Amino acid sequence: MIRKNLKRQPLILLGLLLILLGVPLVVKSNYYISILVYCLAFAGLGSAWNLIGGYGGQISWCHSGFLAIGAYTAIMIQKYLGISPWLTIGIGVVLSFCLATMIGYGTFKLTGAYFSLATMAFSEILRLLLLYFKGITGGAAGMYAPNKLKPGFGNLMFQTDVPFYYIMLIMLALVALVAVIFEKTKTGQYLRAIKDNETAAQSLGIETFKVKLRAFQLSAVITSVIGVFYGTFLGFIDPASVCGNDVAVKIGLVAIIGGTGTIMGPIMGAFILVPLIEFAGVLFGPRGGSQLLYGLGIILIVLFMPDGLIQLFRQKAWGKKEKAKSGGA
Amino acid sequence: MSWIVGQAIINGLLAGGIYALISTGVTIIFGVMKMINFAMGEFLMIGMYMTWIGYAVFGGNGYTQVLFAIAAMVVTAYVCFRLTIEKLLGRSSTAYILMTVGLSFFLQNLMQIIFGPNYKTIPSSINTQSIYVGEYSISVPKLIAFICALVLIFVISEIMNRTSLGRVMRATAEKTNVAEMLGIDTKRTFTIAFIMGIVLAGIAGLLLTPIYDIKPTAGTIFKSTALMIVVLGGEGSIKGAFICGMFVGLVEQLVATFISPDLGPAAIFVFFLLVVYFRPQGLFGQRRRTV
Repeated sequence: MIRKNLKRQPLILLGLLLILLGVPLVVKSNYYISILVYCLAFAGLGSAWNLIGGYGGQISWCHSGFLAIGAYTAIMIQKYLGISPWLTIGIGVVLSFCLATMIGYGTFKLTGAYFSLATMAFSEILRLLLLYFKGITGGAAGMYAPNKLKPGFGNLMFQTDVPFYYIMLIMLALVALVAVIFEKTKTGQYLRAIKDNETAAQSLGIETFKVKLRAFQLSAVITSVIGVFYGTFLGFIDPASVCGNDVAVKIGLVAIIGGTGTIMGPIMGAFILVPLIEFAGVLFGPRGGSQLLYGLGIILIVLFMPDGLIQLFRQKAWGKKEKAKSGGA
Repeated sequence: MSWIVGQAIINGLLAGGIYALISTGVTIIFGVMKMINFAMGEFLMIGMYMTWIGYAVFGGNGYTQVLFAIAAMVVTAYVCFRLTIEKLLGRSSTAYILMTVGLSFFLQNLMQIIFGPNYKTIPSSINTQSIYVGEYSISVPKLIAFICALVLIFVISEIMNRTSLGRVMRATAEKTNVAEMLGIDTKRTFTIAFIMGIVLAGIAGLLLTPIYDIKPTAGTIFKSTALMIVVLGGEGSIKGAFICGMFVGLVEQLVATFISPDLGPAAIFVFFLLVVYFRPQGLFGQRRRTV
């Protein structure tokens, strides 16, 4: 069934891309465009998370950390050195690659929750460090992107959010492309085997440690690249908006709600969850009510629809359920 | 200088007692069910609120609510278990991780909606009392929390080692399917282990009410620390959780005193990574670990 979907998938994705390309021609309100930018950004982030969390079943709670690395390097270097955010992408990539290696190196030799635990602790530490070095990061008060640079494409400064819409759309298309290719590579296939049964995968000679590490590094690097654009899009960053635990959960949740281990899942999840949270935020205030949804969302999905909402679109969804139940601990 | 060091050591050990208590709760659940409970901090926070409710209804101070708080935590834990965790038994550990993280978010924000974001306190004359040993001051609520934590940990480890309930739990921890074949009701054992762990977190919450403000995010600071302590200590090892709890409290306090209060958790994390690299079975664990 997955095979059949694989053949159809590029067509669906291409159609979706065409529709999304046309959206700014119809939608003129900058507010709606900015919400769509959030949707696209989280679709991209969720897809990146999916590479390790979905295909590999290694649940990471530190993607907010990589997002923050991208966003903070972009804004800080722009502020202190006056260099275009485009040129900071490389720095964010190197940094997040090193940190992903550091987290993965020890914990991927173990199985199960150790990785999750280390990621949770890591993003917390990064948040504390951002608060501690207030002299350069702005601490809890955060910091604004400086207006030193000339507006324009080269410096990622625009009058409206439409250019960011297209940038995020291109990013999402690239991440989806990476995911399509990743599914077919050996690493991607091995990772699925690890998710199903790590011990069995190991006994077949798969170097599970290396496979998991590679997927995590890829996922982290992509996240920090999106972070650069996300940070410049926000124009103002503080530890709560890019590095908080709720951001980490939101990134994972997008993929979990849509359907982990699929290309379409995180995209669908983002376009459902982000507007819902926005709506709840308007209705109940930014904390409390809207964040209650994150928790409730996870609980309900894990209980009733472990394969995510994408399950609804699959004809043979029933065969899947059987597998989810018998998949041992 | 030596006074600062001495005072930091005292404060560190006192804080370590509470860490050890929460970690014992985590380690019982972890040992028996092979589940890391990411919502432990929130159950601690609920324990604080239950104590506050008890205080608002019955009066007195925080400590006199102990029976009410325990009863409330048993109910909370049982409801949580029946509605969520029980449905996941036999599924992969990923489901546990997602569920407990979901629970932690849900509970934290549920409390925020019910009680509002403002701090609550239970006023009592004990809260600010200190006793002096030589030149060092020891805060009375911290000392009470420390002593209660030690007693509780001792009681729990005696239950695990000497009673038939403890034997059943250890057997289930060792090999669940074999225990089942031997006629042990493993689901019931899981329920008891889960409730025991949650009640310990709730009591830790009660003991903390004179020391910290009661607020929806009160548990967050204890959450990742307690989980790291369990990994440091070793799978299901109460002794490990106890010693590492004290040690982590000490390290955190020393770093906070001499470098910066913000960096205490960072030091623990670095230590955690070092242990995972060089001694993945934990400082007091024996077996190769798979969760």
